[in-house]
Amino acid sequence: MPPRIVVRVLFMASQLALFASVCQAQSSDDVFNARTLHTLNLSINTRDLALLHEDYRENTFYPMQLEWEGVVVRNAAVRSRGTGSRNPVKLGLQIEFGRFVAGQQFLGLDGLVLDNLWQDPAMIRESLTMALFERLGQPAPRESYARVYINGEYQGLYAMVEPIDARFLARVYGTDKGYVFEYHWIRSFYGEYLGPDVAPYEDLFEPRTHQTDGALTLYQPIAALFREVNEPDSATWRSSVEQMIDIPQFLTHAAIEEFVAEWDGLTGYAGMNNFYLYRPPDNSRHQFIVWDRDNAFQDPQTSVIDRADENILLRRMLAYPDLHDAYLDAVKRAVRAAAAGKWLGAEIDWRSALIRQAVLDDERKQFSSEQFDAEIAFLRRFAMERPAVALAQVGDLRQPD
Amino acid sequence: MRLASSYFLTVLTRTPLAAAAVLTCLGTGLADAQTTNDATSAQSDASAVASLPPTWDFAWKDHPAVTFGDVARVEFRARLSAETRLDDDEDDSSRFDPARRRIGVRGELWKTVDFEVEGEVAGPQPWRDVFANYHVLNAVQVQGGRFKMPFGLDENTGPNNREFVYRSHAARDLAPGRANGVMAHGRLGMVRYELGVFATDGDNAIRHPDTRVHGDSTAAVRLVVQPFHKSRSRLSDFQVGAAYTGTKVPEGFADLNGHTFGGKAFFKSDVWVRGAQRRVGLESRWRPGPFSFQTEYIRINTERRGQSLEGNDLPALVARGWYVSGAWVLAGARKVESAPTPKRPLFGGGLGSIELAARAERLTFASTDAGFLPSTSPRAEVILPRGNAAITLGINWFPNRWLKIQANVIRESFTNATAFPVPLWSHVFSANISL
Repeated sequence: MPPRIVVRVLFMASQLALFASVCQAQSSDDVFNARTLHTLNLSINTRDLALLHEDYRENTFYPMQLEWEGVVVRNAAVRSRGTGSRNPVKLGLQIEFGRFVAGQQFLGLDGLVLDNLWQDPAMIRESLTMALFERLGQPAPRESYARVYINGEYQGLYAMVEPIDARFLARVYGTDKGYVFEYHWIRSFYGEYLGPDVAPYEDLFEPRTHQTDGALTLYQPIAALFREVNEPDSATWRSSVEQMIDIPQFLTHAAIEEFVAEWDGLTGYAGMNNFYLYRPPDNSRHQFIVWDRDNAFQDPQTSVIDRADENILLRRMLAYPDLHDAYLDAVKRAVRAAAAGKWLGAEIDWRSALIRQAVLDDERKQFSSEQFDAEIAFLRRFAMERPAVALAQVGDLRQPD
Repeated sequence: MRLASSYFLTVLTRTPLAAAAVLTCLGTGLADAQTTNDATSAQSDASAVASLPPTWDFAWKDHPAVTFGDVARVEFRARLSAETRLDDDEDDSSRFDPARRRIGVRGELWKTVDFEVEGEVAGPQPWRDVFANYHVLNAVQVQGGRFKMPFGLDENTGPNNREFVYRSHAARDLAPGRANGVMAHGRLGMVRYELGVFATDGDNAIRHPDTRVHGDSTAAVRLVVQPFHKSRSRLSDFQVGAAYTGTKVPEGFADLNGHTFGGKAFFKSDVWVRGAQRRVGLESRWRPGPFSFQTEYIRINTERRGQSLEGNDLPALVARGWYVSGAWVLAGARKVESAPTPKRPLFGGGLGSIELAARAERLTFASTDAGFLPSTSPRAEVILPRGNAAITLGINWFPNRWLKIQANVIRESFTNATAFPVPLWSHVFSANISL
């Protein structure tokens, strides 16, 4: 083969490889590549930006442009978000791409959450927890870090979080036809039956798919779920509840939360919080999806059944010996997943190294840079101590045969 | 002097009663002056006659009227209308509306100033028209007060002469309506002109003053040409016209919305605007006997200066509306220049007159193309077009000259209006008594 042709073939091959790499970058997987510190540029009219800060408690959407790695989405919509993290200094942001332009997406995403990491001095609790859930095969949103700029001004370090919506369902469950609800904490709720009227459930569970369906279609199965859970003990209790909830999934979810010493989750200090409820399109076996874990990794000495007796679902399930064992097994799996190869420690190391400079540059964060370093040190200690503590507790909780 | 004249204009345009009063005094003064000039050669006994108190007379021809010699003539008018609308919409937009009761007076002073005061007996805006018109010369008349701005054929057609229960979408949502102002107008041969300045951009453009922006000081001009007005042929009534208004709107969401005939918004102008707002209208009408024809086109351009995400200018918000309508008097009257007054009214040897009417129209809100995806964003480069196309079929029955009964069937279909995925049918019945 003549050398000129060889050169041309090689050149074309290199161009194809380059093109392929560019194409490969244009997917949501790359947006959520956690190993990269991304840069996200938002353009918002200065008047809208002032209103966004001024009315940060409102859920008013404003038009914006998003630019990531050369991908531009014009006329997306952004609003302030968050509950405890909502503040006017470092805005929590929720972006919807199709609100103003029908069907518009950003690399296959209908939306994007920009978590302001306001309540976590270490800024990695959320992503660490989600990574552990994913490692244990549990449904969890993808996350990555980004330096966020608005109109060229650095706003600080944010977590880009995958919204729990129809796209998420399609990715995780293979179908986007299911029902998914965001749980809103209004008052302490431990899983009580709130009666046959669907109105109380409407307040607690906001549909993120099937928004136009009727209230009965949306909420009657949820009412039935909590009705069955609160039925008196009987021979049929478990079989009835198994029709309404994926018990193994629920136990695993609760076990991971307990392992990471989360105090604002399913067994939260003020009732259930920070989760989505999923119902498949073809049955009523609800699943729980983890959300917002800024408060994980607290005291490594925390009991692995901390407040388990307060949550009616978990308490009733743990009364069954085989489910009790299944729960402890799930805790053990979480321990192994965290400890194997010092996975949790390694995750803390590379994540903190990835974001450290962006954290130091972040003048809008609530906590100081010194607190960031101290919290990272604390997390490293947690990663070392927690597996042994949890395993010992599991051993103590095993019921003798 | 400029300051004083500016203040005078401000007071005049913001206070219809003041404007009307000024014109009335002006008319009186000028009339007096004219009388004085004319009387220079008159005999002294003429002055003696003029100083006598005028006699008054009451008559009821078309309207009850009182005449005070040559000094004044005052007509009393009243109008009562009731309406029932049945929509195939599922909510409560169908209704019976008996509420429109209007009373007013029209008259003339010293044969130089005519005036009109009309009000709604119940309603948020009690004053409709409050104006005086100085009309010594046919070519140059001056009108001041609160009245309809010189824009829009349909908008400026009175309820007694309307062929449909509702005005066209273009008139309802795009024509400016009433405002306080002063206007010069008159006829120069085949041309009628109206030229005025107004305090606002008209009532139709100020429906949500607390949340939306609108133009303040507005200039308006309207020219209507009747090329065959001296002809005795059927073409004598034919006219074409054009109109323009110009104002400036401050930064905010424009108060420019598209409504169904039932009053529901299919387009809310959640679009940032700032800058000049220009309204252009073209119109034509021909009423050659039993048949009448009318068409109109209105376009409003509202600038969006500095409203992009980056603070740059955006293409203007453009609202367009047009209609074509026709009517045919089947029996009982010949329609020329006004409603078909029956030759033989009901209980007067006949059944009154009957008229059929049809109208096709369209109203759209959009922007010029700038190469982006159409969007509902308040700062969209390309505003997603939204529109309403309507067909109205109607029958009008005039049992006598005071009573009009109308029945309309309306079909409205929508473009990109999520609240109206299917066409909307409405059936409207209206009864009007005018004295």
